Parts: sequence; structure tokens; C-alpha cells
Amino acid sequence: MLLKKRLRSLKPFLYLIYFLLFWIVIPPVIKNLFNTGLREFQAPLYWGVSSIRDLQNYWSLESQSKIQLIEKIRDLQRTNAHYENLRQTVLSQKQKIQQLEKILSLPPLPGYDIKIARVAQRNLQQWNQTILLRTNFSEKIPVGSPVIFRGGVVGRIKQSDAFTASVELITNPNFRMVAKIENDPSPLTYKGQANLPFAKPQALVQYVPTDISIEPNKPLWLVSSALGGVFPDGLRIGQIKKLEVDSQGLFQSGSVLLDPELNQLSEVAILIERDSQ
Amino acid sequence: MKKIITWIIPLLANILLIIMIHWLNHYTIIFGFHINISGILVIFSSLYLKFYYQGLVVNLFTFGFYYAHYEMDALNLMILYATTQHTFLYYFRKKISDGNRTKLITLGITTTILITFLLGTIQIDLTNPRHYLMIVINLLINIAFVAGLIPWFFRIQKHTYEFFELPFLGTTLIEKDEST
Repeated sequence: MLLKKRLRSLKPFLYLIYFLLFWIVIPPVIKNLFNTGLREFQAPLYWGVSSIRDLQNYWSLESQSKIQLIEKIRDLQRTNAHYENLRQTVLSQKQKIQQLEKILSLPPLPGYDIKIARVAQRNLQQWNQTILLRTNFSEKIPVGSPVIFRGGVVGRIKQSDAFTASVELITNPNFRMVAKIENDPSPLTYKGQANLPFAKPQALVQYVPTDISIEPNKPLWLVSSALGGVFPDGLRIGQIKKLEVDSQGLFQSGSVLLDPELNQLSEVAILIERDSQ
Repeated sequence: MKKIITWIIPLLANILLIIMIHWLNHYTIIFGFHINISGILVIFSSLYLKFYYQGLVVNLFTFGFYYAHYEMDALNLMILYATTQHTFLYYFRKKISDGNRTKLITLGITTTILITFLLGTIQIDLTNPRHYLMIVINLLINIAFVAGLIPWFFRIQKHTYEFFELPFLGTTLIEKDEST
């Protein structure tokens, strides 16, 4: 009788074994469906929270005086004029590139469409540094698309759903990409790194040739390289202030100081390769 | 209807807490730290829901919801962890479900430590000593937060049960369960 009662009390462990076996045997497709279903269920909630945050910002702007707004408009006009000049330069350079491509019979360079997206959620847990974007575009964002902001590279799209997309940040410890030093063609490896609380974001750069050196007070800019096949050439990643020779003495490595704004992103741009649409 | 509400309350409370924490994290991230409260989400449903399967369903959906944007490996691990923790808590609930504040806080801290190290070992390159320091600092912040939050979170759920005139506490439920 006592044994029966004891055995009955162990029932939960039997259920646990059943469940564990079930979860192990269940096909990955069903697990993925469960995962996707939950993400899609979450999407409107995060959209709502993000919209409320935008509304908060709107009301805080409403409280600003007219003089402050006029000053901001004036600053924006100046910035717009500066960007208009840059646009003209880019257009003339594009025409030159097209002419050269025609003369030399070269295939055209890959083009990107830019989609602007708001950040719905920042999830910068040390081992899973991602941000969630609100993406209500007519077409789905391809997984792996590069994401940038005014300071340079943000990361790449990891998951793309109907209303949201998750971006793996360049600070993620599992993030790797091909990079190069500005004005130097040698490919290097960029590696994300977990960062300590209250510290500026940093990452690692590896396989830097030994002929590259840093002059005092003149840090080197690490930029993206098109060799990796994901990011276009020349997007800024961060600054390298110090390099050290590896134990084997063949290459150098060092830490990369990233833009502190990476932790405060509210809007980013997704680059979608024209062929992938 | 009352039966459904009984186990919908912890599920909704968990989802609401997750959203609030994500909201908070949106701002704490600026200082480089992230609050993870997933440790306390399993406790209530395991201790106070009448049947094993009710707590299991609540925990599965809660953890699925919390870790939906993680890698599949991490999600799998966390679901297996949630089920195991639920089973152990369910088994020992007679001893720990008396609503004692110290017991609750201890339980919350223990689960937070377990989850932090589980996630840390699966997702992080442990050859880098910097990562250990990062795990410890983050863990301390999480422990402080969980210790402050757990009594409040449990009180809120208890009051909701009272509002809907549903039987509470877990001890009452267990006694009832045993007598039948």
C-alpha cells in the first residue's frame, strides 16, 4: 500500500521522461513551427510596445518650444544641403563607374535597395545580442541581409518573419565577418565579443598582417570587405587602437572599439541585394 | 470557465512580465546590462496549479515565448530545463509552496543561477576568461532584480486569484487534491 502510494507520487517523473522522449523524437519541422508560431504571436505585442514608445517620444517632442523646433529645422536644412552635395557626387561617380564597366565589358557591381526599419526591441543579452525590427514591407526580408546605421555596420538579419525581423548584432560573440583596414586590401577576420556592463562595446580583429602598424594617436578604421559576400565594401565597423603579434608571430590581433550608439539604436537601414528579391 | 481562468492567470501574468522586462531592457541596454527573469516564470505555475499538465503547458508556452528569438539549440535546452524544473518543483511543492518569502526568493535566485550558467555554457566561448567575469557581473545584477521582484510578482497573482474568487493558495489546492 505504502509502496503503491510512493510509486504514485513519482508519477511526475514518469511524465517528465515521456515528455523528454517526445521532445527528442519530435521532428525539427514541428519544433520550428512551434517556434515560428510563438514569434508571430509575439509580433503584435512588440509592435504595440514599440508604437507606445514612439508615441511617448512624440509627446516629449510636443512639449518643446517653437524656438527649439525652429533651431532643429534650421540644423536639418543644413544637413540636407550637405547630403544633397554628397548625393550629386555619388551620382557622378556612379555614371563614371557605368562608363568604365561598358568600356571594359565588366559585369555590373551588385546594387542594394535600402529599407528603413524601426527597432522594436533591443535584446543585448551577453550571449545573444540581437535587435528586433518592425518590418511591414510588402516583401519578406532575406535572411543574411546586411543592416547598417549612420555609424556603420549593425549586423545581419538572422530571422525574418511576416511583421518582424531579428538582427544578429556585430557584438554577438558568435558573429564573424570579413573585414579590412581602410585603404588596405588585405582581408582580416572580425569577431564579436561579449562586453562587460557599463563598458563601451568592443570586439576582436584577427589575422592582421605584421606590416600594418598604428601610429600614436592615429587609430585605424576597420571597414567591411565585399570578399565575405554579405556586406558591401567600406562600411565602418570600428577603430583599432592597438595591435599585438600572435604567439606564432605570423599575424597580429587587437581589439576594435565599436560605436557606443550600437546599444541605443532606434532606427536602422536594411540593405537588400537587388538580385535576392 | 473557472478551471480555464485558473491556469490562464499565471500564463498571462508571465507574458505581461516578459513584455515589461523587455521594455525595461530596452533602456538598461544603454548601460550594457540585460535583466533575465526567466528563472521566476516557472515557479508559480509549478507550485500552485492543481494538475501537472496545467503547469507544464504554462511553462512550455512561457519559455517558448521568452526564448523564441534565440537559436534553436538554446530554445530546446530551455524547454527541457523548464520541464525538468517544473517536475521537481511539482514533486516537492508540499514543502515549499507555503508562500514563505525567504523560500520564494531562494528559489528564484537558484533558478536564475541555473539558467544563467546553462545559457552561458551553451552560447559562449568559455576559453575567454573575460566571458566568466561578464557572466558573474550579469548574474549579480539579475539576482538583485529577481530577489526584489519575486514577492511582488507572486502577490499580484495571488490577488488576481482572489479577485476572480478562485481557490488560493497552493497549499489549499494540494490538501484538497490529497483528500480526494
